[in-house]
Amino acid sequence: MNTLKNFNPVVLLLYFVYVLFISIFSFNPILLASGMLGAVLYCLVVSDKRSVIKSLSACIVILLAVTVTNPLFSHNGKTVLFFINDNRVTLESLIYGAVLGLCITEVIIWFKCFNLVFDSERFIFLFGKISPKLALVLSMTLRFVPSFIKSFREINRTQKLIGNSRRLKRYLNSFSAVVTQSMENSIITSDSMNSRGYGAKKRTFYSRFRFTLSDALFLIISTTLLALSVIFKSDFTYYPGFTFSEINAVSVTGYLSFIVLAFIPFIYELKEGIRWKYLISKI
Amino acid sequence: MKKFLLISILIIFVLTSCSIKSADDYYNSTESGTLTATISINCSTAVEYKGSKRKKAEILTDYKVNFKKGDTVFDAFKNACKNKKIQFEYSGMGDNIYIEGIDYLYEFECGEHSGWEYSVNGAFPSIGCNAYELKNGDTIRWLYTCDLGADIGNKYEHT
Amino acid sequence: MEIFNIKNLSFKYNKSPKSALEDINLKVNSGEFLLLIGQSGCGKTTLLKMLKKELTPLGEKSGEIFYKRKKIESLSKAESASKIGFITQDPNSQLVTDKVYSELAFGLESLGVNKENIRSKAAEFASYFGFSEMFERNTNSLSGGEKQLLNLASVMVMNPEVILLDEPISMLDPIFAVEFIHTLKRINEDFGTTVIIAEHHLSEVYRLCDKVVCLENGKITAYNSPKEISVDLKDKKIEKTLPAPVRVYNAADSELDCPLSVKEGREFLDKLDINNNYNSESEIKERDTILSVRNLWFRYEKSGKDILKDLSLNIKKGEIYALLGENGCGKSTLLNVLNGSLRAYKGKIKHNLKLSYLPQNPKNVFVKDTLEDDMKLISNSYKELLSEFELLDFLKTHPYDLSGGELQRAAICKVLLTKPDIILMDEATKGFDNYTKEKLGVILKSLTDRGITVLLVTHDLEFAASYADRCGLLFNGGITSEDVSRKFFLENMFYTTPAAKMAKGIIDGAVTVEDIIRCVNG
Repeated sequence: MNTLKNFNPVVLLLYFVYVLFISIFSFNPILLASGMLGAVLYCLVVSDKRSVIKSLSACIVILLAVTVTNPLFSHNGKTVLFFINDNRVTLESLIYGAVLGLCITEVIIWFKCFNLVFDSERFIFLFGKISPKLALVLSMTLRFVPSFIKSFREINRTQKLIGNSRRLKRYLNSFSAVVTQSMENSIITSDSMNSRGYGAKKRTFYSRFRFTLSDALFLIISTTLLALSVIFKSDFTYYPGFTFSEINAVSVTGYLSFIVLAFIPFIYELKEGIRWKYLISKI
Repeated sequence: MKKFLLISILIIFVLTSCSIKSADDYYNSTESGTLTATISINCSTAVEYKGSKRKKAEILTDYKVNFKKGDTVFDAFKNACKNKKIQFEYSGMGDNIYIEGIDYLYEFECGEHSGWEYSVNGAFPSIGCNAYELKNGDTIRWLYTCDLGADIGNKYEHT
Repeated sequence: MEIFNIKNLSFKYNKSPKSALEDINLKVNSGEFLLLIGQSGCGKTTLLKMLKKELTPLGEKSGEIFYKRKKIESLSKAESASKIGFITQDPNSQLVTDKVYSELAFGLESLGVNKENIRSKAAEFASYFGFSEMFERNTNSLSGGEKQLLNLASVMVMNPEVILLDEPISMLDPIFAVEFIHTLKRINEDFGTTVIIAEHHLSEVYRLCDKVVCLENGKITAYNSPKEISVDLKDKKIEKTLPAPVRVYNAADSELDCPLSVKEGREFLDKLDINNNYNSESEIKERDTILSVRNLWFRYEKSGKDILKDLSLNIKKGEIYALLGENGCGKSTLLNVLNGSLRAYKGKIKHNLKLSYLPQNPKNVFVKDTLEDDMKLISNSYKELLSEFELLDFLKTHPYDLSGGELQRAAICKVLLTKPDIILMDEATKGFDNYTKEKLGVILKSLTDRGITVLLVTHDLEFAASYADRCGLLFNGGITSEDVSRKFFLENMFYTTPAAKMAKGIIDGAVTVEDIIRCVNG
């Protein structure tokens, strides 16, 4: 189940922009770690475990690689671990590498979440907001490309079976044939567009999405949380030694705001899941 | 398989060309040399820079350092930093070594025109610090500038 | 009220020496279901396109067309788009967008209708056409029949007064074709929408239409109700495309009413009082098995379901074997396993033959700019074969410019150059009218005379009954019944030709219209 999808794509897009904006610019390990956790939990709820584990293991490799490489290139920091030639390898630099790795992998995981929510339909909706014509072109392309590939495969297979055996030549032949066929078919498509009034009046754009009360609520909540976490942000510096803002009511508010923001998809999905189970139990 | 072999050879080569030492070993090893130079490192401009957290301008004052014949400004600087346990970071190699930061003070920390420059006997050489060969009794000064050298008496001129 | 009034319409294409339409006079009333029949190239398509302003071809036109007493040229683009719908043959290329709902919305979006209005219209027609479940699906994932229904729905959303259809079911499988025609009839009755349809698959549409117009060489040669027009069509080439009961009626020279459905046909045969037993005993030649398939199992994905289950099949030398079965029963899959494109995970295929393959779309056989170049790809000794297939005139023609029948012949030609022992044909008769089919049938027979075996996958029961030596029914992954064609069709209740259904119990042993006609004429 993926109920987050039901929100208006514009609202969803804004949400992802918010989370990534804070994650990247705060460069705060606490925020990064909680953002990561929120994204991973969401993925685990809506997509299959195997693909999550696969992406996570890739992330760990990246994280380790960045952590190990950073101190080799950056020699800032008070706590010396050892020297390579005349260059110090420091704890601060190692930690900075780990945080950098966390930042990169977090972006990757959030993009995975983004992909789980944003399909072609939602992209087209976003473009339709800008220009209905652009949305149409995109939609036509999304229909055309798979059918082009399919006909290419069919022609290529047929050619192979009737003895067009040299591979490269066959590919070229099949390609030119599929281009010719597509051009012929595009005449039919353009007739079909014309006979359904294409260009008769200024186009409107239809999509299945509306802006509902829950979209407004989602937008207000996420924007408020963004504002809170920006206003009450905590500083975190790595060089020459670690310093961070003292933990008090203000900084905790900032942290909590972002943690809640990052956990919205997971919490929402969990809530819907529980509600669904409850509804089912009544049947 | 071939690729794997190549990569392992490369790694071994890189490792053998590096000497890895603990911090104590590194600082306790001394470089011998019969010639001496005087080194100062100063960042008064950074202390004055608005918004800077630097409190102390003198990082090293009139320190006598030994060096061998043929050594460069960089070699003497390195020895001094090692003896006094001062952090520094450089980039590049050969004649093109460039000092990015000394004592945790890095270039660009005080505006986009800030960074480290050096002078020998009051003059600012226009070559890299590892290309300048020292003579006995030279006075080296490493100065932090916030304005491409203008604030330390080395005004940058367009050529 | 009249919706179209065509007065003295003549039309000649710019580059063509002869007229495509000559002196057409026709009135179409609102709510009428009008059927246009005629041989390929008789001007059906041109006439339909003349009625739709946006699609009118370039050429010399004389005469007038009035749409609701207004000249058709005076209609605004938006008016013409919304009031006159048009659907062509190719279900696939008519689609514009990637999703079912956006396809439904396309016309209304073009007319600048606001979002809320489109929403309710799209929903309404999606449920009328049974697209509710598929509303969010990709158009590419629909079957041909579903695509054509979607094309119809996307036109109906605009609430047209009249729909023009140019051979809309010729590319569809029989079950979908019937469904499409019935939907069309339902629209006609539910909304009073005028329907003008050009078609040569007449089995359903002929009995459902109100009026039939017969076009020959650009002229209207007959115009009447389906029951009455049959006499006018007698002994014309077009007669062969008429439904079985009508053809029998024409042959019987009866004073009775013309039968249109199988039921009426049976009543008609009963009244004729023929008690003839058709001599169906034809000699069965003993032939060697040249291709044997033993206990074949196939599935597309590891965790998918079996498409072929324990399938066994013997093909004999020099026969035409027709493999029948409903959509998605695995016919094409079997062909692809036999030709080596797919691999069965269990079972044996035994043969030492040179196989060749003709795909459903004969265009896919050709990849060059002229027929000659394409033939040269295989072999240089093609002239003789081409002349035998009456294709020498087309040497310099682009293969895609050939008509359906010519293209299929050319494809067979090209495949023959590879000197195959057996040809696997996928849906060879799709989209053909009856004379083209007949011609193809004769060619297939001539191939068997050369010792070439043909394995034919088809939906076309009449074609199989007329030309196949043996038929097999593929069901649930295996061959469930298999026999000599005539016996096969006599024993099946549902999966058999209309003629066999008509004659069952009245004339024993008849499976084709020709069989019945022979008995009727004594």
